[in-house]
Amino acid sequence: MTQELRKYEFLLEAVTPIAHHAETHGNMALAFRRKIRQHDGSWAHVPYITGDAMRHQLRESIAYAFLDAAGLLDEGQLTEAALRLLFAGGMVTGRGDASSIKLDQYREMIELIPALGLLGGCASNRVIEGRLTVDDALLVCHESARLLPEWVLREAYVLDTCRAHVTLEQRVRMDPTLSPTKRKLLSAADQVSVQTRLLASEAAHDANDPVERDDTKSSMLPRSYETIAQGSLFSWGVQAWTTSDLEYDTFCSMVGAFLSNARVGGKRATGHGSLRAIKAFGVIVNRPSERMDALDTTALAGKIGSAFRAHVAERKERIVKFLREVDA
Amino acid sequence: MTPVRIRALLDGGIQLSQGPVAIDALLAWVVCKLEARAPITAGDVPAVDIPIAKEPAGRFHLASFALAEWDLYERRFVQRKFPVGPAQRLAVEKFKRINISAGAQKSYRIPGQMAHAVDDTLTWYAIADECAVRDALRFVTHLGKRRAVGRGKIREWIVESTLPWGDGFPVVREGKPLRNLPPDWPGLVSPLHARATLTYPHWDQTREEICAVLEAS
Repeated sequence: MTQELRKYEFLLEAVTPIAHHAETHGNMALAFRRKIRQHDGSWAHVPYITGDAMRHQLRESIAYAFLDAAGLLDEGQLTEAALRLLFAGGMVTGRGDASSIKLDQYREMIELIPALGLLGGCASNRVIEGRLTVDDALLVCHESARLLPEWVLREAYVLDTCRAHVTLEQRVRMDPTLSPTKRKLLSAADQVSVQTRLLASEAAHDANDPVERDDTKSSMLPRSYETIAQGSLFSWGVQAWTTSDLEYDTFCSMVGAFLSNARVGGKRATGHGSLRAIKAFGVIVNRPSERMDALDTTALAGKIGSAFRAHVAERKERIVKFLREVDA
Repeated sequence: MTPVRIRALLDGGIQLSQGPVAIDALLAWVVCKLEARAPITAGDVPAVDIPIAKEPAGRFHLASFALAEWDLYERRFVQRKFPVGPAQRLAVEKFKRINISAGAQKSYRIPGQMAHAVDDTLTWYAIADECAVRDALRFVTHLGKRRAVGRGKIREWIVESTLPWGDGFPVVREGKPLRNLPPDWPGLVSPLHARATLTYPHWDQTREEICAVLEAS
């Protein structure tokens, strides 16, 4: 197989609201936004999911698929360095000799963990160049329309402003000591302590004493955060230079594993961050005439990955030994 | 080889930290990539043929660096967090404590500057084979740093013939260099001098010499 640049373009839908935050001001978390130039030269701040977040999820997905194929998911067997290598790309530890790159070790690592050839990373003194490029998942809206592929615009049908896609939500972390039922669970001494604090708080409130009120306030915490609304559409692209059938299968496994249960951003434990692909196109660039094929996104995860899984399973003993000794 | 103008229409911002992009270096990268050449080290530079004309002495190619005006900057971050979740589940038993404020597991958040060019366009001028350049640039999908996470994405390459502006095309305009040039290159008027490489690979500091360099826009 020759070297090929493969590109996939996806139209993703937010199955649940997306809570992907850039920063917080006080108790308020703000969604990631990027600046997009408009036709009149003005700038719009359009919510998006960063390429960093999407790429990390791809890395995590293929790491789990790799560990599953190698039979290493069922019990804790990874060293600290192996964890860093698989889930965070590793690091240059400074323990290797930076003056020489050990190509044989590099080749062994790529052979044992094919995804590292695509994702890149660091191990020992080696910085491995990645060949996977992951774009931001850009909200499909009026302000981003001129940047989106035509087929995405056709699928999206009606566009709204980016502002319409953002919702502000509020949640409260409750203080269990405010609930009389839960207070009954406290020890006798703690019940007295809590009761005393509550009385002091009421007294401070009646006396309008701000200092005392602060000292005796409950730990209840209201907080607000922006989300990108459920049902929003995102245009997303991922591409990789592949040099073998195994790498191509690894690439597909990575994308397929991610899309089979795609989750990004925060608050995933409380019903946020779920995405699904509703349409995709794949392109192979280095052909005399570029061709664009519709991809069956529902089939991507199921049909592919056999070469990847077989390759990893065959090398299980070597992989265990390598991960035990790797310096990353 | 004819005078051409090459434009990259960007999808948004681009993160450049090592000066403007050289189109000749980009084309050399494409050739090396497609030929699957092995990486090289400093000082050991085999020839890479690209479809851009060379100056008469053959020291560099007749192509400008990327020309752009910047009208907006934004801050982006690189973040790293130790994978605490997987560690709780998959790490060996003896791995008991993670220090995320110092040492190997230290989390970080490093800021970087992303720039937006006027009209989201970078422009180069060159004496080149228009079709061959157009064909090669299909493989360049992103420019600048942090390409792996989608920064510097190119929406479209436009390669078109153009009229030279006169003497100096395409490397000198109004007495100013549009790429790294030898200080005695004809047509230069009070250029800025600095140590730089005349041709690719521009990361090879062993080949730096005093050059007339492009002034930052």
